[in-house]
Amino acid sequence: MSLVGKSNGHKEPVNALVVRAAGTNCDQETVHALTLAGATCDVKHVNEILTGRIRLHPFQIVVFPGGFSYGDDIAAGKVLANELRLRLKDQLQRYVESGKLVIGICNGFQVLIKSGLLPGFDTIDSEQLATLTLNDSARFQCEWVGMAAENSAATWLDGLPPVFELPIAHGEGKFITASPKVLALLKKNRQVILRYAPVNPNGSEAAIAGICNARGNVVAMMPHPERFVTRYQHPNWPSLPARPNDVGDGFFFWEKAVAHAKSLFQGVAR
Amino acid sequence: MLSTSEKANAKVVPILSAVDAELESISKTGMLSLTLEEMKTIQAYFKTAGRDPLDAELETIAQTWSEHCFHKTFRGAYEYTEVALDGEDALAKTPRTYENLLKETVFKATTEINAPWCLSVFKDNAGVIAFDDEDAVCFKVETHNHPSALEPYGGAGTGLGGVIRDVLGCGLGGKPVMNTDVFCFGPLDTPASALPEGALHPKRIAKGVVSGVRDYGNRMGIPTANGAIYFDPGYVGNPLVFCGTVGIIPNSMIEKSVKPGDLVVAVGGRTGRDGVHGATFSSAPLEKGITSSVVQIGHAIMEKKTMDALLQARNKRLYRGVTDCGAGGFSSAIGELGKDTGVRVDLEKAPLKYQGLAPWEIWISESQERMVLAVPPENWNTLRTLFANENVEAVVLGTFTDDKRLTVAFNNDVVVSLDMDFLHDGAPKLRLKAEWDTNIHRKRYREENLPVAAGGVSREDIGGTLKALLAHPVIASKESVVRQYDHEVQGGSIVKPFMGAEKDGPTDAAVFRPKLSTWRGVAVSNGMNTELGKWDPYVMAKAAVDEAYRNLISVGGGLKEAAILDNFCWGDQKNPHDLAALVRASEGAKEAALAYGLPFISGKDSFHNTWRAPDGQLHSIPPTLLISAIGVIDDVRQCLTSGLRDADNLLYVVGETRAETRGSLVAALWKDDSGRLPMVKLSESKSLYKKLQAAMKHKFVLSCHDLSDGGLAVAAAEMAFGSALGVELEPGNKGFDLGSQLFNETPGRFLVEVAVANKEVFEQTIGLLFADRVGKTVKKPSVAIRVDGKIVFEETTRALKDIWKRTLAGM
Amino acid sequence: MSTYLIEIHPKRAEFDPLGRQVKNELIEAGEPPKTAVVETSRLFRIGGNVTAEQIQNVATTLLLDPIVETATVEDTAPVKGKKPAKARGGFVLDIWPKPGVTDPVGETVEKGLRDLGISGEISAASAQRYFFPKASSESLIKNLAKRSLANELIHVIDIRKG
Repeated sequence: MSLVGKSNGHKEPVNALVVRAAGTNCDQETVHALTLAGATCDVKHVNEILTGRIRLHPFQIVVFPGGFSYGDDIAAGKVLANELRLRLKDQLQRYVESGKLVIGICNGFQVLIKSGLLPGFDTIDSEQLATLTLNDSARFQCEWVGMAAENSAATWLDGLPPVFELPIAHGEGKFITASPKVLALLKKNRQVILRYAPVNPNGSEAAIAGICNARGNVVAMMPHPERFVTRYQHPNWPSLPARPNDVGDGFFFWEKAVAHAKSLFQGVAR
Repeated sequence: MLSTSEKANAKVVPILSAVDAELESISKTGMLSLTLEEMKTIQAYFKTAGRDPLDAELETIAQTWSEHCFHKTFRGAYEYTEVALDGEDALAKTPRTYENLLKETVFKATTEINAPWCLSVFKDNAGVIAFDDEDAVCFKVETHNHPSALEPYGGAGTGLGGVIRDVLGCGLGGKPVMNTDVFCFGPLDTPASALPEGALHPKRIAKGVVSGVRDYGNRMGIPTANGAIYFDPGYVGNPLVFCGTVGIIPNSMIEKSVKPGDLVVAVGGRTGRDGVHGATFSSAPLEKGITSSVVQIGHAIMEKKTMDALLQARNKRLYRGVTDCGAGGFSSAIGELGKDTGVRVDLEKAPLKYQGLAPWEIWISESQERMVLAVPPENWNTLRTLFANENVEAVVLGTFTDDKRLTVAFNNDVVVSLDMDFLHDGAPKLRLKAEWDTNIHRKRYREENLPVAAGGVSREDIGGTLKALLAHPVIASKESVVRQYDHEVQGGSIVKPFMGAEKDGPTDAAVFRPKLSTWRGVAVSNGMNTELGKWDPYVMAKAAVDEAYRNLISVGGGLKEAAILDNFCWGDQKNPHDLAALVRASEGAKEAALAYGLPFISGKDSFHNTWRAPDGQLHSIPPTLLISAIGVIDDVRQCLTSGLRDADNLLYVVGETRAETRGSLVAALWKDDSGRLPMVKLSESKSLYKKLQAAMKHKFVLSCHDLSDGGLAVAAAEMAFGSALGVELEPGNKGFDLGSQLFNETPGRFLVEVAVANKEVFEQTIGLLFADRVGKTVKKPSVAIRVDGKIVFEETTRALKDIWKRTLAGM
Repeated sequence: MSTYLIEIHPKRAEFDPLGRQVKNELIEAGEPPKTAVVETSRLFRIGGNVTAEQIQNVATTLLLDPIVETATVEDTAPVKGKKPAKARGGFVLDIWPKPGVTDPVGETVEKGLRDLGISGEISAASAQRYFFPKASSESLIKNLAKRSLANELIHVIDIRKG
């Protein structure tokens, strides 16, 4: 079925694929957030994609959610990243080049960075150029932290609240680039989407919490916007000012992703 | 039928002609933990069968009859007498006899309450209560004490893994939605010289236990959102690790069944020698020289994969029955599932981690992350494919039969052939004597186990006492631990472990949405009071139920049905004084449950929590009862937290404050036992709690905190910690000293914040007798205490919070 | 069949937060702060029909995070004329799981090896290495290992001169 030429506002649903593997554990709240934002979701085991039973191209959004893929036993996200890089590279390359969205949250960020989809100076970088490694505290941290959104190459994210809070829950979230050149290029290309502010909880370079690829359609972050889609998820909700529909700040991320995916129906070749 | 000739795969154990001493020695050398009476019962059974048992048969019986699987001490017959009392309530009619203590106390409360929302109690791996039209919630709390003493990381991790499997093995499988963990450790500053030989230091145990729970729970993707950590010198040689899991389960899947012809299917991890004799090990005291096979390391991702596959198979109805492999491994799991039908197992089909296991070892191994299913043969291929897609092994081990026998073979060589009836109902009843003697009880727990670090503050030093209490490890902030747990995963958390303006104020209960599609929620809390139990376990048990219930009530939200779980961790099951403490605690728990209409839905008991001190003396841990409460919240958006909401509001103690300091933390701090032991006025509290809930419903209550460890002043400070505000306390004159008013732990009380505009309606709702105005909230972020209008103590909230957060910051 | 030992170590001290943590424990165990230096690394023992070239690939594409770590591969088979590594002083402490004890990391490595196309009989085990370059007392290291880093019920503790 081709959707080419269908107009925005069309009833055609945005289809999101949430990819899981052994140890993925944020798939349910991710589906919930995407569904609230208006997407239709499929949750599929990576095995089904690797064996070709499921193809990426019918989806407008592919999400790698949080968790501990394969236990994060070697280094966080590494084994799943290898599966993608070694067995799914061509399909991923075509998918990313089509301009559709890839989103990585927490473990998904670790997977995307270790598979070369991020920083994504090329569609898929030939070598790993940055990493997410052990927090300075050397332990897992689950806490709510402040974020500052940046206007970035992912222009579809423009208009997020300038500062807001999100929960983090990771042991390996310290963002480090391979060299100052990589960091400079990230800045030059406007690939930083989120920074920790005012407190940098894990020692990340330039307090980076999330980045996108050069084109702006592969986006990932360590914090969990899917865990703040209603205000009642915030740790100070009894004292938060009221807000239309009681939404939480994380919801806007998913809303913008779905809106952008919808805009892809407008004449974007698939 | 089995012949008793020599077998390749099993050894004949000659017991038919054995005399008592030989029977005892067979039990001991085989690590069977069977008593002489039990050995004699087994001997009689095999005499009738006309043959000697095989090793695998004795192992099977030992596993099934073990304390761990069978609760033989708690189910025993008791004769309870009171030798000496000193102010404690006498239990009605002594000597008092019980044919089955568990049935006549804990179970009885549930039967008498007969709550319609209790959907499955005491018969499955977890208790089940109603949630909404589609789903129910199940809850189980387990202990993993001895393994955690020897290898804290592995012991705690596998303890959590085990209780998660209990929920997965409840009905047709609950989906885990929350974990709760309660730990009891020796004081972290215990000198090395005070450690029993071979015991790990409490610091090491604490660190290992916390990281074990962290690494397992986080990988499972289940939020660890509730818990407590208790410190007492009585736990130095024998820490306690309680792990609990809440699950959600469709109403149509609460019951399981097994039909003859169904396949016995094992799924999950492989079987190794690890955990051999785990169940019987937990039925023996903790001494040095324990074999290491009982110590295991968990494999959370194996369990996560198994869970993912299992829940899909459940939704497709591919199996009829499921249970987890816990204590006793296959022998208990398969024996239990096939109890009413009969079963035949071919052990050579079990996937092994490595070769070289004897059949009986495969049969009783407690290797982690395994479940057993009863699968109709027509579903086998679909089920196998489903599990293979998730990279989880599933194998057919045998078939359920209709012969009411347990038959286990290895390469067609039968190694077990037992009647199910004998196996499950043949154990002799324990007949136990319980003797309550206050003097002995106090000597054991008040003199031999006095808190090491306590003391040094005088009753008159209000500020010093408050600061010392805030720094007390039992009260101090556990944030450094809680932050290591992912308590946000699944996105359901509403009342989190820490909340407020700075996100670090404590809360009373965890509230979460098990389904993101509804605002209906679940609240989980706990109550425990080891200090009181050193005086009287009867009062301790009532106070524990009261505290757990009050914690649930504190979060408001329109609490609907509530239920409780018991976890008794006790000392020497052969000691009549320990058993008397058990009888008193069971009676207290029953009374409180009945008074509040809180049915017990599941429980656990752990005995042999004993250890040898450096002087060679065998010590029992202080009697410890953990009450875990679960309740359904009508609308989580209406929940209350303990953080103050606004300045210039009124603060009330709801409930009566009496001069009862005995058994409180402050009494230990003051080294002053002169006060009275608290009363738990159950019927009075019951009606008061209803009134408070009415006041909450009318939104007269803005914030609420239960009064427990450290009393009023600590609760007030904690409410300030959850806000950017301060408090001024002026408790007034109650005819006893200010210190007792501020710090005692009279049960049945809350501290609540009420707007001035609602003063009258609130007081009317609660009744003046129990609405005790004790102060107000103020804009200035400090905690002040006034007497006759004059400030006698004032400190900034920041400074007090720092003290509260410092003690355990390095944990 | 070959057996390789692969050591993955942080490139710089700033990438070794575990080392910083253990340093505090070393001081608590009695090492003077001046000589309390700890470096940590991850160890993998991989056995099977694996060529030297393959094992390099395993180290760099599976086990190593190239941004913060480096890898050393050692064929454990004795090679004629192979010079022993230069002594660095101090003590090395390796903590391996005892045979039969669950090693989830080792199992994941085995999966990773198959993803890289290595088939047949393979085995992988993982361990933690601590290097104390300035420590002078073996008994102190042993004490630290027993007290806080390892448990002899499940671990093999291997201490030797660095």
